[in-house]
Amino acid sequence: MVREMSPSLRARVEKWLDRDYRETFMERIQYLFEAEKLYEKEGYSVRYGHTLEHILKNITVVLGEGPIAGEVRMRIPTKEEEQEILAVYKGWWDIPTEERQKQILFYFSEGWLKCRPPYFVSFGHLAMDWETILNSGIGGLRERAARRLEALLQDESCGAHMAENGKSDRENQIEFLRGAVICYDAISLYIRRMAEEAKRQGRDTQAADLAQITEGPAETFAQALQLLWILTLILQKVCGCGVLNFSRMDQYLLNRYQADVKKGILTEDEAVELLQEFYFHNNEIMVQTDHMSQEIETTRYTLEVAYDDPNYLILAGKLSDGSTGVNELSFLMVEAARALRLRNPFLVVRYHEGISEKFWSYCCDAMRENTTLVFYNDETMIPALKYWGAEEPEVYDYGFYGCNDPIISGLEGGLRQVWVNLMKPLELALHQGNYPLEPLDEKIVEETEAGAPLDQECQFDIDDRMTGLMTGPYYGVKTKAPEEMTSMEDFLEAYRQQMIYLMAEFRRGFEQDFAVERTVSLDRIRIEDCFLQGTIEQGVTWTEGGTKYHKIVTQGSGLATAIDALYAIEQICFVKKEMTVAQLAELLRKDYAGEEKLSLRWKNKLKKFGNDIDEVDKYAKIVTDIFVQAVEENNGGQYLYQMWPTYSTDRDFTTMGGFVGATPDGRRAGEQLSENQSPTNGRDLSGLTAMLNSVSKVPFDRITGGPLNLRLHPSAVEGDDGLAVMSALFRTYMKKGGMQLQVNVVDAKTLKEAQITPEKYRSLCVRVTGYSAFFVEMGRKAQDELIARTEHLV
Amino acid sequence: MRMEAEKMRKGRLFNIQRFSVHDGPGIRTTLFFKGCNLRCRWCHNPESYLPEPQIQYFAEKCVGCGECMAVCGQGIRIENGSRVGTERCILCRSCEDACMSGALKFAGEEYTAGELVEVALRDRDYYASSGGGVTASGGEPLLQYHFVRELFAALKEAGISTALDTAGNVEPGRFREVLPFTDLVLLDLKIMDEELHKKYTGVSNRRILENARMLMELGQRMQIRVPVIAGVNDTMENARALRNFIGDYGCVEEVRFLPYHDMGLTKADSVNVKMERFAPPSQERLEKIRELFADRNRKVK
Repeated sequence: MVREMSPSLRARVEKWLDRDYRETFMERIQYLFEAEKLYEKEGYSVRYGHTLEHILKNITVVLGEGPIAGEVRMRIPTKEEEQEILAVYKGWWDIPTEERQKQILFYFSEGWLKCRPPYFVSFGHLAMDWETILNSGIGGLRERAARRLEALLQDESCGAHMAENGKSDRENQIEFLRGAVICYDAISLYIRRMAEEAKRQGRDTQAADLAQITEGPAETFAQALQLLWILTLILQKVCGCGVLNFSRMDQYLLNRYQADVKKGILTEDEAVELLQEFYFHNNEIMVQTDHMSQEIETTRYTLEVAYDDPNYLILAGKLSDGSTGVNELSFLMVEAARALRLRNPFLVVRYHEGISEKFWSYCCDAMRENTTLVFYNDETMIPALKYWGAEEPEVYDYGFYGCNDPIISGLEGGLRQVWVNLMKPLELALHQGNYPLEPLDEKIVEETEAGAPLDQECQFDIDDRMTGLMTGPYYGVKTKAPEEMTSMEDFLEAYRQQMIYLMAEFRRGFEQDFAVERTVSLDRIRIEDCFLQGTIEQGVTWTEGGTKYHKIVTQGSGLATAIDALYAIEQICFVKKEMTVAQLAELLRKDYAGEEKLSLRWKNKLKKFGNDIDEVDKYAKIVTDIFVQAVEENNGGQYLYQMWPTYSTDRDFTTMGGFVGATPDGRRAGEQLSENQSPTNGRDLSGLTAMLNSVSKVPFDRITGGPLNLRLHPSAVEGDDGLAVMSALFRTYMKKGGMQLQVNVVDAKTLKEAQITPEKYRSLCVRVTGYSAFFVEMGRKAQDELIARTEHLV
Repeated sequence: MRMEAEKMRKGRLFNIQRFSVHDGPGIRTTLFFKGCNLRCRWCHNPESYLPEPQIQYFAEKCVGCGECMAVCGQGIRIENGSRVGTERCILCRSCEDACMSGALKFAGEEYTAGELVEVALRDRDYYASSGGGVTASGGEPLLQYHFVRELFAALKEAGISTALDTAGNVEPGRFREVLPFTDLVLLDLKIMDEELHKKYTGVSNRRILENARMLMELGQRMQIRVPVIAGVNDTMENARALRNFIGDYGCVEEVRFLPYHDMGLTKADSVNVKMERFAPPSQERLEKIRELFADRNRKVK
């Protein structure tokens, strides 16, 4: 049973689906521009706080129609306004990359950046300490910061150590905490304004709820959702702190829910309605576009800081005492999403052994309707996270933010990432460290020892380092000459050395950039610092070590391509001995010139990953072991940030493929790599169970995230029998050690029809990689990619 | 010596399909046996007709590269979308090997029971969680009943559930050989009227119905399957006759009506079989037929 939306909500959803993509929160921009000048002379964090305050003090309070208050005034700007705004934006960011790095630090791409000034950046991609926020209230958090600040001001002897930015630790901390206190006050001020507006409109219950959470803790279920929503609105729509993880909401809201029901002030129906309203609000503030399709007008246009990446919400999973987290709220939270079937939030249901069959089947049913819901496996995730250093009990509260990046909620800051193109080291191993698409004539690539001194320049381009994507010509170390390779072990050893080298190179670049970052960032607050554990207590930003954990999401990309290519080398050079490694390398360097038939033959006739063939699939473990070793060798206590490996490409598998020459699996130079954990497109031809068996051979207990996309034909899962099959299929995959599953139940025919008559498929919501999108809003290329994915029939 | 020969016995299949969910309960691996003694005019697996191996040619996948002709020692040619001279084919498979577009496909691979058990075991966890198993289908699996018996015995020993998907046009003794190792029989009862059955399938249904009755008398767990083709067997008369025939036999757990689809047509072309196009029944008619079976305590789909 699924409770449907209220007529009022349904009407709002309909209206929202038809809104104009140019609608913009113009007041943010207006007051931001004002604040930029007003507080120019202040220190960074105080200026940050006052900017937030200036916006929240002046924007129009819009309560909205639903029971959860909080919207902003949107309108379409005039052409002139647009031009003016874009000119200011350009002024902020039309600076050399090196300068940009100092301004806002690394791992920001231009698309994300442009709508915010360098002194008011927040990148989101994290989980706040929601439980403490709800229990302490904004006032409680303010007190914590104010007490810490007071202590510092009283004690002049502490923190005399001079930091990298030329100020003492004490000075840095005072600046940081001053900013934090202003931020808390600004937020309370805004909620107070909302409470007053509610009172003025005679909405007494709402007014009372808002008054309570202005400074105090959230006492009821409704107040909790209300406070979470207002914070989300401020974080995302004002500060640009996107891609949040709401963490385990079915756990931390349970007590309030049960108490309210017991007291008779909340019914199940009302709880579902509140959740639907909360979910819809999350959609409402998003830009109507697909951020991974940079070529489309709606993506280019946006003047907004709130992007289209969804917020994640974590359900079920094991509790720290080993018992199940599935409870009545877990059901209600899935139910609310089923009625809406929108992109947001992105529900992550955590499987664990012994999870309730009823709940599992209920979730499968939701997936079958294309609800935005994915599965993760506690049985691989928890061991993997522990392996990389996450501790009990907080490891049980792990979650994800988009795109499928792991996080220990409340104890980590935002995104730092690198995509490790797994094909780069393979190519380098074939060519002794040379890059065939832009080969160096001389053997300039001299033997470079991994772990060379840090003052040596990183060979990765700074732009690549900033986005984390390896798009330049990379050269490796001089490994064994192909002529001398006499066994597969020889080749794998070269692959290992190249992988370790590239990872060391990335580490070198990261540490260099981080050192630069520390010369400017030590007293620079971002809004999320106010809501994490450790930052305020220590007076240290998350970026520089305030939280317990610090990680770099290290996304292994092109897994299946690497597996297929290694198997191909084994077969061609060492089993069938059709040619030597040297001959193969030469052929690939020339991109199969004159031997195009060979490319076709290897593409079509060599066995491929995804068909449950052990002799191919064994490379899933080999590649993973090498990848893991390379990460491990470049982690360690001497570094603040640790790399955590995932298997995740986002949609960048096409971009990355563009920088890899021809490969022995038959792939021509520049063709795309395999997507996320999927087999190479169209090469998994032995049935869904065979495909899942192949993927489950990846040792996921060392891998901390990333999606496996499945597209199922609706006929495969129709009716009660179909649901039972789906439920058994997914449960078994988890039992066999699979890590993640996300599903689209739609046939290629429907998707093609949607391309022709998009107006009829306005609400067709599909999972792309770490986010969902409305199919008709995606770029053509992304649409075609989705259509080309293997469709599992029966 | 005889034992040795039995061990080496092989079954001839034209396809193995993993993650089958419509050929019996749960998640299954369906083994399609080559060779059939019916010639249903709507057949969706016409590559199963002949017991001998053959090369299928899918014109719509052919890119016209000519590689297959270059390697063929028998002078078989692709002309105007079909393979000419196939009577000379010696099944060397070099054309299949040369074809990069997947237009040429060998149908009729041979396997030992052991090899098939190995394939089946790869999905045993999926069978276990979904109540699935292995289905022998075809073609007519009972034309290779010695092998099916050996295979099913081995599967049962490995703890895997077995289903036999048959048209039933064989001597009853063949059933008796296989039944001890069969959990479920999926029996096609296509048309109840003998003359019509002859007209559309090429054979009488008398032996089929006798076998069906024998199975029901034995209390064999069964699913009756009826392909429903407009203008052929979508009459209420046929439905009523079937209903009377099944009567109260509790061992018939499910009756499944499968509307005609035309996916067999391309496959017919691929083996040079002339196949006419039929039409599926109307949704209303299908519902009405299903309703007729709703009064018994059995599943109707």
